Amino acid sequence: MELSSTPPSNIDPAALRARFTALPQNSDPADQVQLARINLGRQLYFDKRLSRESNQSCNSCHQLTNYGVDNKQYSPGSMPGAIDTPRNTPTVYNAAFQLSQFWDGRAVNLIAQAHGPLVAPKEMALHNLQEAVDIVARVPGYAPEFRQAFPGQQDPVNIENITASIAAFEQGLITPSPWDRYLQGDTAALTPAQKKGLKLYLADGCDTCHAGRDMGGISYQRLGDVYRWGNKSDPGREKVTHSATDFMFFKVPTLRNIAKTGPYFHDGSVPTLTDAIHLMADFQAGQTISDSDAASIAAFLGSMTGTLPASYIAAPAEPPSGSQSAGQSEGNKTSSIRESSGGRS
Amino acid sequence: MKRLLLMVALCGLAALGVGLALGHHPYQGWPPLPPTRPGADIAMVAHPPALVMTTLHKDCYNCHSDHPDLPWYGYVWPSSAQVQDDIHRAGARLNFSEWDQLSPEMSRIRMNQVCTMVSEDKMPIWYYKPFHPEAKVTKQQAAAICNWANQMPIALTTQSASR
Repeated sequence: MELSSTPPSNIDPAALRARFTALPQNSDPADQVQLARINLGRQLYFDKRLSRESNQSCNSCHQLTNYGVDNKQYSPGSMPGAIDTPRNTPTVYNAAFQLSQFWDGRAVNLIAQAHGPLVAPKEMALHNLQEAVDIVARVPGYAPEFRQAFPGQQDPVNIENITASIAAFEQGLITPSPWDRYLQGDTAALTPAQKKGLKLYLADGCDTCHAGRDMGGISYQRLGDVYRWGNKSDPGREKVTHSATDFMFFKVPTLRNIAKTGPYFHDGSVPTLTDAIHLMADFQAGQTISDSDAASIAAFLGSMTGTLPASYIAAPAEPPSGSQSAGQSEGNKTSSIRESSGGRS
Repeated sequence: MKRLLLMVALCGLAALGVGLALGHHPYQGWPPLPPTRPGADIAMVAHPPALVMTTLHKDCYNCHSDHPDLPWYGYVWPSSAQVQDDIHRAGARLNFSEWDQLSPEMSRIRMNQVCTMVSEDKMPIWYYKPFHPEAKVTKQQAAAICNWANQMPIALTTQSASR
C-alpha cells in the first residue's frame, strides 16, 4: 500500500513533459501577408495616437523592453482619475497561449482583448472604436500597410483589421528561457538551486494550476481556495459570468518572467516574489512553507525569465500624421514613453 | 477508575450514535462548499468514457467534487476534523464539479495527474483504504483513465488570435 499521497517529484524532463510544454522559438512567418500583418500590428502597438490625449499606446503599460509590464500596482491611463475595479497590468508576453485574456478572462482571445483598452474610459479613453479607425485613416502612411496586410479588401482600415494586426504581432511575443531548454532535455540548463526549487514546486502542488506551456493561464481558479482570501473587493470572474459561483475566480496568471513582472496578484498588492509564494502556498495549498523553501521556489521561477526578442520588439518608425493630426505625433521611441496606462485587466 | 472508564465509554457510544444519525445526511461542508454549477461537471464538459466516469464517481467524487458523501466517521470528532479537512483540500486541488474552469490543455494535464496518482496507488489516501475497499482503483480502471487522458487534445500552438 502506498503511504504517501504526495504527487511524484520526478524532475526528469521526459516525465515533466506530461504537465509542462516548452515554448516554441519565434520566427518570422513565410507567409508575406502574415508578415505584413505583424509589422502593421507592431506599429499600431507603439502608436500613442490611438488614445484620447495621444499619450498612450499599448506599450505604455505593456512595455516590451520590460517584460510586458510597467511594474506599477495600477497603471495610469490616458485620462486622469481612478479606475473602477483597478487591476494590475498583466504581461503581454506569451499571452497567446492562454485560454482567454484579462484577469477575469472576459476576452476570448487577443483580438477581442485589443478592443477593450482603446475605449476603456481611464485607459486609452477613445470615445468609441470608430474613433480609432478614424485616427488610423487620417495617417497616410498606414493606408499602404493595411492594403498589404489585408490584400483584396475594399476598405481594409477597420477595427477588425486593426485589432487582428495587433493580435498577430502579440502572438510573436514569446520568451523561451532556461526552463524550456531543461524541458527539451538539457538538464544543465537549471542550476542545482533551481532543481531543488523545482522539486519543492512539484511537492507543494504549485503545478496544480501553474502548468502547461505558459506555467499558468490555462484555467480559472478561486483565489483563496483552502483559506479565504482577505481582500474580496474585486469579484473576479463573477463580473463576467454573473454567476455567484465564480466569485473570486481569476485566470491563473502565467509564471513566465514572473521574477520581472511584479508587483503580484490582480490587485498588485504584493511587491516581492517570495511573499507571493508564501501566500500562494498558504491560501491555495493550505500549507506553510519555510523562507528557505520559498527562496528555492523563487530560484526555480527565475529559470522562466526568458530572452526578450530584441529585433522583434524594436520600436518602428511611426507613420507620419496627416494634416488633421499634425502636431499630435509624439514619436514612439521607448525612451520617450511617458508614464501612462492601458491594457490592464 | 471504573467510573471514569464508564463515562468515557458512554461518551464514545453517544458520539457514535450521533455520528450514525448524521451519517444519513449529505455533507454540508465547512467552510461551506460552493453551490453546484449546472453543466460544469467533467461528465458534461469532457464526456469521459463510461468506465472512466464510473470510476471517477465511485472512487474520486467523495473528495474531489462538490458532492462529497461522508461516512459516519466524517461527522464524529476527532476523525471528522481530518476527513473534512481532507475534503476541503482535495476540492481545492482537483474538483470534477468545476471542470468548466479548465482549458483543454489543463484538462489533459489534470487527467494525467489523476492517471499518475491512481496508477501509483497514491489515491485514495492510504488511511481511507481499509474502510473503503470498494474504492480501490483496479489496474483496468487506471488504464482506462490513462488511455483517455492520453487521447485528450494536446496544447494549442497559439491562440487562434489572428484567424
